[in-house]
Amino acid sequence: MSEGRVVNILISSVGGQGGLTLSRIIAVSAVASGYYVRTGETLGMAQRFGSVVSYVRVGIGKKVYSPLFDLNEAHYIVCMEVIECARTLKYLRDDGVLILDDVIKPPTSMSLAGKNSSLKEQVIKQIREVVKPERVVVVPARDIASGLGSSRGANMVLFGVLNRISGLFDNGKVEEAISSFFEGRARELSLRAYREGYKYLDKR
Amino acid sequence: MSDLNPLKAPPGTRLALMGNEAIARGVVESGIYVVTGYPGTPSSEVLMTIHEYGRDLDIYAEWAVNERVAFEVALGASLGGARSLVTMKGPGINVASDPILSAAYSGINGGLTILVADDPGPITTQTEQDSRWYAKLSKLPMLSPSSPQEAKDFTVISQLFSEDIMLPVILRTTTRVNHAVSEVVTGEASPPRKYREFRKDPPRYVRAGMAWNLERHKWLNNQLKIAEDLARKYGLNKVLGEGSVCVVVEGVSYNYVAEVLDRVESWERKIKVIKVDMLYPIPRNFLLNSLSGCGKVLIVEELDPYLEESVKALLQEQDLRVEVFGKLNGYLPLEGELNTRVVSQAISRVLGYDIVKSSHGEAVKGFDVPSRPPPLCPGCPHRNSYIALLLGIAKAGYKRDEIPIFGDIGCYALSVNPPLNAIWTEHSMGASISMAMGLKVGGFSKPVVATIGDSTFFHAGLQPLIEAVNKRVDLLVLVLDNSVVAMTGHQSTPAWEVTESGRAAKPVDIVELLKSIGVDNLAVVDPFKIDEMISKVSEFIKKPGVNVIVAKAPCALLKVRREGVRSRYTVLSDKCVSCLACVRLTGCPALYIGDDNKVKISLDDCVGCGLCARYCPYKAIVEVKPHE
Repeated sequence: MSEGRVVNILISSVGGQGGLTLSRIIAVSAVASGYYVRTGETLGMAQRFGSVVSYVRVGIGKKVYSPLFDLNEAHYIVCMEVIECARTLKYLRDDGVLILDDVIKPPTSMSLAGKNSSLKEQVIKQIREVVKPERVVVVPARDIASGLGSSRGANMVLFGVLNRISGLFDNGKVEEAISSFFEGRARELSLRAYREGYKYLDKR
Repeated sequence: MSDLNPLKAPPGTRLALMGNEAIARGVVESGIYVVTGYPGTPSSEVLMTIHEYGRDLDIYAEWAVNERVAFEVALGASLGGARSLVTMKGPGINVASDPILSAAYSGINGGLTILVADDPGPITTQTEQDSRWYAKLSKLPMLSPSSPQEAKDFTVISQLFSEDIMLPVILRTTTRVNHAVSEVVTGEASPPRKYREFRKDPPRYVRAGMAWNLERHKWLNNQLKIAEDLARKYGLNKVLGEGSVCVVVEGVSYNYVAEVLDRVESWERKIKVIKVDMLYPIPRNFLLNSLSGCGKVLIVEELDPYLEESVKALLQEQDLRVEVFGKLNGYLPLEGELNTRVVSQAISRVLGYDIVKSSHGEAVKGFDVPSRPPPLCPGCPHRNSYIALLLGIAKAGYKRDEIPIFGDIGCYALSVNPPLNAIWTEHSMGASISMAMGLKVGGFSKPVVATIGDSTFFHAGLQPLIEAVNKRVDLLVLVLDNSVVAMTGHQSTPAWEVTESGRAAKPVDIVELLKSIGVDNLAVVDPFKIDEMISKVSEFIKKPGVNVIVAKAPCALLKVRREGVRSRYTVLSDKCVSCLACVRLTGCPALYIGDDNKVKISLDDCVGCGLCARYCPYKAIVEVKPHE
């Protein structure tokens, strides 16, 4: 048994929202910080508008082997969409934290069944019933990112919140990772989105 | 930052790389000059990484028309002494298997690595094919990395190994290695190894002489005898820990074993882990040495009991009385991918006690939410094509369920989902046309339709079409030409003028090809002119002969990337009566029903195709120009 600890992060999103980019930037931040990392995810164009789950495992002073973790093992779940969040709740440890952007993207199956988007409030209510309220952090990440210039930055807002809560990485390492991943305007927007996210809980 | 460029970072750099990016780095480190393949999840990112980060490197990196051609290109390069790599997904090696088996007799000159990426789960593949059997079938050495670091290292080793043994080497991976991101430490780059010489040697390279073939078969069997020495030379196959309870493991499964043992105090004194990196030929001496002293052996591997059967045969042959546990006696599943929990349970069953105490409290109880099968994207031309096909069938006077629609491999297979519910079959590349033909020649009297994408048509649709034309079968074929290999991430097709590497290519014209094959009726339509396409379907479906409609419009994602979104659509709430005609006809994921029960259009997702507006009976959906 080796010393150190492994932090499990699950990212749930709808294909196209930027969940995979978030998982990648967490991995780059981990390596930049001298940690170990292993991710497991589903890639491929046909995942667009489908359910996308990324497993990210950061090993601090400890090597990570499995790219996956089990139900009840996530220290953090980052949800970019409420229905996908509900689908992945079972991965949360009882002392884990859920970070949720309260956005709904109703799947086609729901529209075809004639169900309207008011399901959002109901799902958020149910999430709060099964996860202890103090462990649910709702962040209007998409709105914050839109305010900065592009809703595509929602993932970086959520990363800011995640890092503020978890204290996993130095901000300098994260910004280094973001800068290496994006170019031009996307880089500026992503950095600003991350910083806004990082400050969000203090401002609230 | 060029320091973080996976192909150019200096040696000793610690990078976060996906397994496939690590293999691309391995290309640079091993001096591979020819890299080719056919896109297929989870293998595509190897070539894509070279295209993205190494366009200025002196490497031939191009997609081929299919896996068989790709392999033969790599083989030809290798016979001339160039180092080469060919990439494919599991089913791709089925396509390439014919020349692979012959290549085992001819051998190679420059190193030749065949990357085959299997997909236990399955996560994106039609079957849970276990391509490890191809090593046994073709008698070619096979290496199996467990992590992105090993994926890179084994790529380099596979080239040296290949040249030492003069045979192609199969590098077999699985999704959780190809698509896992992990820390990888880079090594030295090596200059690309190009053509050296190609000497005429018919007994070696001509498989038409049966006496030669017999000799080459003996040569092949003889070559395999040095494989285990080579494995030792390159540091493959390892033993960790000690004890009479032994775990034999390979590939990604090693991670689950390591993960379980890492949670156990001084496991090294209780359990011996035998990690097999070379899967063919089975490293007999290594296994016999490391299995000595084992009382119980658990074999941990995904999919088929490949290692299990090999280990059992070895133990039996040596008359060793060891209890073997694995898939054959139900300790591990024969289907799906493994994980830490399943492996932990299997080890516990063998030990007779729980190796890891269950950790923290009760899992959070979930609740049911609507499912989210992946739909066709907003603005996808395939949606229009299938709607036009279904409405054209109706216009011709047939019921929807009496005309079989054969599907093929690509995004358009998503037309199987509601509301289109279009395709009846989807099997393997190109099969739509030949299977549709088969139904007809088998005696089916009504019209049949085959639908196939442009890249799939180039890959394996041409020959079926030749067959159908030649045998004068009545058949309607829709070629869904979106000018890209969309599903696997937008790779080039033979119709491109410039490939991803910047190479000036000569585009091959599908319509000219169809004409030259001699199809009876041919039309090129724009699926966004849907009424024209409906008419053409209803006309062609009744005509005798092989009739082909090419539905030509670029992939919506590609179009948006090139041109941006010019306009979007919105719903006038006062006019919307919530009839849901738009939703039920198109199933477009940009449409949803708002809290007020009126249809809404997600501005993030709409690309302005206008299909929903076309079919709104109340004219409630209108175009919005950017500045309105």
